[in-house]
Amino acid sequence: MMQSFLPFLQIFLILLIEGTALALLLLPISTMSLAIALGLPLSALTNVLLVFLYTVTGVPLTLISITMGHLAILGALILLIYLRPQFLMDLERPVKEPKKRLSTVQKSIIIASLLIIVMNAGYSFVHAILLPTVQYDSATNWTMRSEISFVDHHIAFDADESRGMAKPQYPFLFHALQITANQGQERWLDTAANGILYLLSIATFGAVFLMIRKLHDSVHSVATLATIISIPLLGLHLAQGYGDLNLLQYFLLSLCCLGMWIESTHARRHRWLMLSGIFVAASVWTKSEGSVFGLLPWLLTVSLICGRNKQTWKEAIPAIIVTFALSVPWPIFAWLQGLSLTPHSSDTMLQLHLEGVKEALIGLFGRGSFGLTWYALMVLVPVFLYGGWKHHPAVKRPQLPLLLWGSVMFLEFLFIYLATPNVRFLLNAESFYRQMMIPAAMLILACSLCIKPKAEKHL
Amino acid sequence: MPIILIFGSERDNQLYVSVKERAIMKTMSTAFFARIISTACLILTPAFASAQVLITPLSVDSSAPVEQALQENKGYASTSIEGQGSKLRLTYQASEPVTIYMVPLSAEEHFVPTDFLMLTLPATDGGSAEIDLTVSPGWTPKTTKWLLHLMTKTEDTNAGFSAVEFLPASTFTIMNTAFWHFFKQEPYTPSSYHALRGYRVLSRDVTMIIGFLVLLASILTIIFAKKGTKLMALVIVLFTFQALYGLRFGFDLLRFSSEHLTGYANGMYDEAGSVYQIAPSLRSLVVQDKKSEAETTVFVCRSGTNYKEKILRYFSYPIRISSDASLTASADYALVMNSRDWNVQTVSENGVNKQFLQCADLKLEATQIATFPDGSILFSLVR
Repeated sequence: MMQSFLPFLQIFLILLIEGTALALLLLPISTMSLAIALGLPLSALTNVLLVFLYTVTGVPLTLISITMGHLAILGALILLIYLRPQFLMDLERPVKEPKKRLSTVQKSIIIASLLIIVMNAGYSFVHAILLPTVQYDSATNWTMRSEISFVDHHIAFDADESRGMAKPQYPFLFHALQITANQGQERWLDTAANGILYLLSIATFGAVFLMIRKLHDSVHSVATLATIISIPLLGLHLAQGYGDLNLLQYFLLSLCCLGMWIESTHARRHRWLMLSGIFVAASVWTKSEGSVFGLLPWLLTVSLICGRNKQTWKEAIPAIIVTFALSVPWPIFAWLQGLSLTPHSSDTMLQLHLEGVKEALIGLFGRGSFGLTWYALMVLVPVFLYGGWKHHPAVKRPQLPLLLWGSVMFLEFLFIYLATPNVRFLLNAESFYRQMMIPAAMLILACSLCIKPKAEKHL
Repeated sequence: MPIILIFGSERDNQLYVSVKERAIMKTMSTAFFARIISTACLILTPAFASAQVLITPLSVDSSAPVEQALQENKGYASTSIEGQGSKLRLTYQASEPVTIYMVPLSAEEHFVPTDFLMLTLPATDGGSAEIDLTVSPGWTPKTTKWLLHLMTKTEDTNAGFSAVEFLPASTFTIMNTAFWHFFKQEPYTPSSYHALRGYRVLSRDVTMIIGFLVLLASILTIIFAKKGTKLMALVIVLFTFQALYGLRFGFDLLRFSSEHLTGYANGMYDEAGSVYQIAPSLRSLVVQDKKSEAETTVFVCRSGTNYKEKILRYFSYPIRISSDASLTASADYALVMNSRDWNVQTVSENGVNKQFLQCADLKLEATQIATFPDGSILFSLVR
């Protein structure tokens, strides 16, 4: 066991330190804990870019090439920190929240939230670490492709399923991370593959918690996290193995950073937007949906936030350029390789499928995938929009544009499943539900960020 | 010979019930809270005469076991019955145990796969069984049509049913059933990652019922909360509902964890079965036989879905795992896994006994190597 654990630990630490160094250079002002929490999500992106570079240049994916690549990146970052310390984030000392007596309601919220988080965390640990992969798509599109690529020493793009792999058109942040995590192992280790994704989830949700806490307080933050995780289908996906969870995680990080950008008055506040764009770019490298359901709504949201404010646009344009620069290589590569730019080849045949409407409504408001989530959102989102319009004191108007992303995504998904042949994946209960959990989580987070805290915070 | 369903006249049924009624009521009152007589015990008990057994059926998560049972059992009959009650009393005789899969039908004659019940009636020269119908999440106090599939191992079973009676549900039974339905575990299947079935109480979708309450509570909060606190009050009300549902589902997540850990430790992880034992066994064999993993092919003899085959392929890679019949000529091993159409034949050739694995139309000379807890059998193929 130690023989397997040590190489994994080494790789993980390299990724963590690299990502943390990057976070220290990208964050405007933050605590070390947030920088560390953002470490693995950022290094997962640098990892896929490294693997992509190796893919196009024909460098085999081996322990030496991957480790040296990351050490080179880390070395460059450390050099940059040494030579340009002024680029580093301003270190924010953790502010101890003044001890105040919690009300019964607040105590109940904390207890319920912690219970939900612990239950889901326990399930996630058992299924991601203690138990092996058991999900169908994981043994084909996802972890199987990672294993084949690991054995081949290059990313696999099999056009048929003779080796058991499907969907060569998927981008490969998920796969690259699993491949990297397995370097140094004698043979493919399923635990390492799921373990690195498990750690990515912990890092992501930890970062979301810390960012919300910066905007509000611990009670608000833990309640938001619990509400998101309590979406039943999302909780189930915490067992890892499907890219939908990783896509969702990057969207949440990006949305949180947008919220920080809106609130921040720091001289380098534009870095929050840059980070937001970087996480959107990471989503483009995670799943094909990252471009249509991530990049596009993100652009719309940023445009809405900027409005007619030239100063804000000045901050936004560099971030947009960087985001595109990081995102565009994948679709260009896929197009040049003759790979489909969408998950399914029939995705662009437009035709109204009204037979899907009833099933979509039952799926959103019945059965078990979302519980009561869409009932709550159906009430909250219009209430927040109305409250914002009426300048309600409990609504943070500047954050309202964040509702746009989740709303646009929701409408996009409805369009995809009711106006294209993808309706079959709705009627046979396949991808519709796990894709709809993404706008659900995004809207919960956006609503949370739209609540005005009792005490204004300065970022 | 198929099962013959015999129903006596209504008068006969009434007479039968009145004669037995006191004995049955007494049996029920003492056995009511000592509910379960497991089907295993019933199978072990040979024929009994003129006694009554209380059966708590097993809940079946999907229609796959039903389809499999239909394939495996030689004797089969199906029928539908309609009635209102929490228990079904069948008066019957059978020369061998009779397996029943039954499911409530909707008004449109549809069924929900997770509503199936499975039970086994013991062989008897004449007796009755009371089946607890409330185990099915599709059970409702209203008049319901049930579809029954009756199966026996052999075709020449003699079996007949002289009376079929629904026993009414008390108010306590209805309330108790609603309570236990709510705590019935969410089914966990390979398709759960795509969609969850959700909770049903007395055949009603719990999410929709509580969702309606959420909307009602929201409206009342907006109307009655103090001005200036309406929004936060609404947020807290909605959070409360979401959290309670989240805690309910969290309870199932813990149950999944416990079941899966136990199953995996016993060599049977959910529907993946013993795949996690088969994979290392294959690798050890390849090493033992001094072969290369990448050049080793395992032919999978299976029926139904390719789910287990795909999971095994992942854990055995680069060993080639395939159910493609064209690969049998070059296959080194064969694995019988969830197959309903296979057998092993021993043929004597030139004084030497040879074993042949028959998989559908394929006949392969093979030697059995290992069996696994889920019933999978591994063979080495003779080329």
